[in-house]
Amino acid sequence: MADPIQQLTAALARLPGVGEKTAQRFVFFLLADRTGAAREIAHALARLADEMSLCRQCGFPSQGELCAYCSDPRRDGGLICVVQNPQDVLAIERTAEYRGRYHVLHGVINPLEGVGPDRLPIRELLARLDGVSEVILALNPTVEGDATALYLQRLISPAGVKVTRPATGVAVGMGIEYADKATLAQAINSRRGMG
Amino acid sequence: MFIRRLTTRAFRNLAAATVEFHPSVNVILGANAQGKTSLAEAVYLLAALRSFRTSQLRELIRHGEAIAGVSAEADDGGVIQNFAVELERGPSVTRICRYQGHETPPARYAGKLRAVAFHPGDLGLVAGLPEARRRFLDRLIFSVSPAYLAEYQAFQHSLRQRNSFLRQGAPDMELLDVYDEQFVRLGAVVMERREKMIAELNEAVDRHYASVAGDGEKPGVRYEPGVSSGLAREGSAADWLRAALERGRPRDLERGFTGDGPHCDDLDLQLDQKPLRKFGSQGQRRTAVVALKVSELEIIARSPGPRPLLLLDDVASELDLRRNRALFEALSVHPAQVFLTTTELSHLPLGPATEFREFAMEQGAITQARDRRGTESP
Ligand SMILES: Nc1ncnc2c1ncn2[C@@H]1O[C@H](COP(=O)(O)OP(=O)(O)O)[C@@H](O)[C@H]1O
Ligand SMILES: [Mg+2]
Ligand SMILES: [Zn+2]
Repeated sequence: MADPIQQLTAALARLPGVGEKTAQRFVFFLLADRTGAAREIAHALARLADEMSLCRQCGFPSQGELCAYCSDPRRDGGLICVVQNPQDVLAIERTAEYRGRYHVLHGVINPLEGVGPDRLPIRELLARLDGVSEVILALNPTVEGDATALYLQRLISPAGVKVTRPATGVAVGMGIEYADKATLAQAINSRRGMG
Repeated sequence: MFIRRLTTRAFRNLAAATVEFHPSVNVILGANAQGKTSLAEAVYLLAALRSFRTSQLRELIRHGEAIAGVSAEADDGGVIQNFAVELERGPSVTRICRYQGHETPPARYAGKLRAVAFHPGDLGLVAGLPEARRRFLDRLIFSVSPAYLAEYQAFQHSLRQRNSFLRQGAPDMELLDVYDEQFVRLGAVVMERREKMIAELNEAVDRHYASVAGDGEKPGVRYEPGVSSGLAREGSAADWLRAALERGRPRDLERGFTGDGPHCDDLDLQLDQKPLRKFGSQGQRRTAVVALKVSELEIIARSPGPRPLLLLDDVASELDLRRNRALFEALSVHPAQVFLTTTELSHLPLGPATEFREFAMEQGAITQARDRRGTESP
């Protein structure tokens, strides 16, 4: 087995946005650190791996089978908001404007990166449509987010479910995650039907 | 807007120095390979954030140096504006732009200083590759409508996604419909922008060609959309593009790329309805390029924003006296700050009333600068 430095460097370099160089910087920082950061991080990582998983229904991180949103009976089960990342759920929650449920895709369709529809939990989304009156496609306004939304709309509409997208306001190229609270609240409240 | 003084650092072969420019005409004189074009290139970089002679920014950084820099103090009706661009070597070159001393993202910096460059490489525009003509057209549209940049990039991106999707085995037709829909929507925006700009160019070239050519042949600039022949246009650009994609689908699936669309557009320069790229003489093509460049300057100058600087790199020596005179006359209508490079002062048809500053360039250094009048011997 590789020595611990090499092993951790290789492991960290698998994280999005972290290259070999940055991973190495983290490793040497942890080695030199005297405040116990390495143990603390190791413990937190072990807990994350052992105690957390993705909600069986919507894909949001959860400690049980169902996440806090899916198991909250006060939430409107007739409304599903589809997002690219869990961070988008947090951003939408901060607006306090939305009381429905979510569906996290953990990505968007992207042929250039080899991500086809079969790599995303789309079948799971379609299986949830019973009793749902509206699906909001809150995907980022990128070429990929837009194509994914158009594709989902084609699959969902035949089931007789209304499909909407947040209105303008979220600038082209800006992620849902980074939109400010007021802009995002406004975009969700004035969402438009598709097609 | 004009540049008062310009400072370069580790830029090509230029000695680190500050140059004080004349507000209207600047002539950079010197033998070959002394650094004349490099100085013009430094001015252009500051405005356009790219070079007019290479797409490789790393070439601009002096051999053996990590960072090249250009900065300038410009005068905009008495108001001083500071511009600076740094190029840093790396896996790809990083551009750092500063406006009024503050680091500014390139997209926001662009347009604060504008320039039009005309260099010998442009003379092949009419008969060269369609890519060069598309690039000319797209850059002209960006300079007058900065919003076009995002539209154009979105279209290019959707093209790459569609092509990548076509190359995957057993594609999902529902998803191909989605890529078509997106391609049509984004592509139609590009086609409409280009169509509109070509109409403007056609009108301007029509006015300028005769004065350069000195005869009555009728020029024309025509849009040749990249929709394969045989499909007549009906309705909007979007409808046309949609019909072309539908018809071309089996072929696209077989070849693994998109055969119709704005990425195949061309701009056709004509004389008496005949394409110059096939039938023109070298002289006629050069005349057409001169008329195109004068039109470019005119279209940018009349759009909102700072008055563009004009750079003519070694162009005078490539044109005969009549075209040169016509070019300078047409350009003199625009009160822009001008930068001319030449090996011989006598190549420049500057009348006796024209005041200019002459810079002697030798091995990357300006050895002399003096104010003069007229280049043409009486
Ligand atoms: N990155 C660079 N570092 C150092 N010298 C360079 C670099 N790029 C070009 N040169 C040299 O700079 C000189 C000036 O080139 P150029 O500006 O084209 O001259 P001119 O326009 O006067 O003919 C040439 O001798 C060229 O080899
Ligand atoms: Mg030169
Ligand atoms: Zn859930």
